Amino acid sequence: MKKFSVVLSLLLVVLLVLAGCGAKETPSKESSPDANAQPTKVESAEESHAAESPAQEAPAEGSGLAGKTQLIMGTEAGFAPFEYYDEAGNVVGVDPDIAQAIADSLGMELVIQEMDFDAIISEVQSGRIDFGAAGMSITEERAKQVDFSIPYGASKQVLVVRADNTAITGGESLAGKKVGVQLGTIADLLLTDEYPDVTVERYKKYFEAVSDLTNGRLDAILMDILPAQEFLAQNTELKVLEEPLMVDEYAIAVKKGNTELLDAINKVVQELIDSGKIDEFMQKHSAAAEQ
Amino acid sequence: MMNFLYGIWDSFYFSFFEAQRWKFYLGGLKNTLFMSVVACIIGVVIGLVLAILKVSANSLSKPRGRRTLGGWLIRVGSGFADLYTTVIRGTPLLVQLLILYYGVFKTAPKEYAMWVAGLSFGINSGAYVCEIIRAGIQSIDRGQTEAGRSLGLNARQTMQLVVLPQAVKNILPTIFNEFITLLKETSVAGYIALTDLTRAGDVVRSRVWTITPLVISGLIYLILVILLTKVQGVLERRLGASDRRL
Repeated sequence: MKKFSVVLSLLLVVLLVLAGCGAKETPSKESSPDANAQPTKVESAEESHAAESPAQEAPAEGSGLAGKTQLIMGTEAGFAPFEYYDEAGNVVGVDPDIAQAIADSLGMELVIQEMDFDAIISEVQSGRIDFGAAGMSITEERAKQVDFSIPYGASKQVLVVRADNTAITGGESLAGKKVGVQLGTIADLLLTDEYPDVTVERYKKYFEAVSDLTNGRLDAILMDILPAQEFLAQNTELKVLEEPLMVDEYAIAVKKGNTELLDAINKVVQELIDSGKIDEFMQKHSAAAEQ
Repeated sequence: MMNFLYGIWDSFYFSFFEAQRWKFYLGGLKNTLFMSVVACIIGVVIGLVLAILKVSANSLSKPRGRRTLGGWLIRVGSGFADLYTTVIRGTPLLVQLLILYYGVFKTAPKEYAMWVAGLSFGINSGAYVCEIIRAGIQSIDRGQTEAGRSLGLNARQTMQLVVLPQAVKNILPTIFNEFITLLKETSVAGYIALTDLTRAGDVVRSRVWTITPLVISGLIYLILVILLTKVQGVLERRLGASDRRL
């Protein structure tokens, strides 16, 4: 009995210590939905900083950009044409091109960090990366954790199946099927929430799901149509079902309250949209990724 | 302080009860236990066979024993056991799992992914268990074998009835060490898209973006290990009941 209580109290101590670590992260979660009063305080503080130094070309203080020479972007490079590795091993794509334009306008050097997709939001929150640009759809849940820029592209979630598969024709024929997604992506969230009778297999990388689909381990993959077409270019035994299960919009994620960076990003993204540059990036990388 | 505790509870609730997220942990726990049990059984069987091969080869000291067919087989088996432990202990578990799943068992359907993972972990564990059991057998005084043989038992009976039962007692702490390691090492199963306990926490984390789900997963592992340690304690007491050294 005595031994048991020792174990139990030890367990409690560990729980408290660990939960303490966890609790430090909670304010970022909680402050967003309920306590709108606090973030506004932070914002107004930033505005006053901005008021002190009206010249906005160079990074100003208050949002963490001050004195920094590097702008760090987080992404997951298995998502052509938005981001992928080129022959030389560099991460390139539509998002890196947009990010380069942002860095240029801020006069900073762009650094790209590759990571798991489901890590990007946490890394934005922790401030280890300045923004996340990874073909990330705007969702209500994510918008509670980070601030999104204006959207720069449409996301169409489509099904990829083997070319000889006639059983799956769309979302309604998925019941009881095994469908692969990348962990934490919009496809994962959509299937988990809206299709309870689908077996969702969650991969860290889409290419692993593709290899399991061609091996016959999966019935389908749910993913964005553009990267799906890139995979198709390499796998002739696959086909895409054109009708999307969901359509939404891609945007860049920055830390909550970092309005200075967000404004700079929005300005650049708007310019790129207006000048047709984003379409240009899309075409350039769709062609490049196929080679 | 109250606020602090309330924050912990809130974060815990959000990561566990909200949207029935506990189902992820439960599913992960089931998968982790399944793989651990499969791996444990395979590991012990492989380890025991390899250990006996290795020990038997050592005891083939007389030239007469070397020339018989049995002696020859034992030496080949022992050579294989050496190779096995070298390769398996010399390469990372994750690499072995990926090779097995995406290579050797490329055509295995998704339903059997858990078996492939269990097999992979078992193959890995077998190499370590082999060395543990070998050490256990060798810790038994040579006089025990000699006594067994002089009582008219053959080599196999001596091993089964005299040496192994005593060895089990000696290896119990180390083998439970291995079981505990095994249980936690199944966490790499997420790499082949299996939802084990670690991946379950990761899935929830991709919805709530705090570390709380990982803390929850960690606590479940901790509870499992504590339970395993309890089992070890009970076994040690039972086996030690007639042991004058304890």
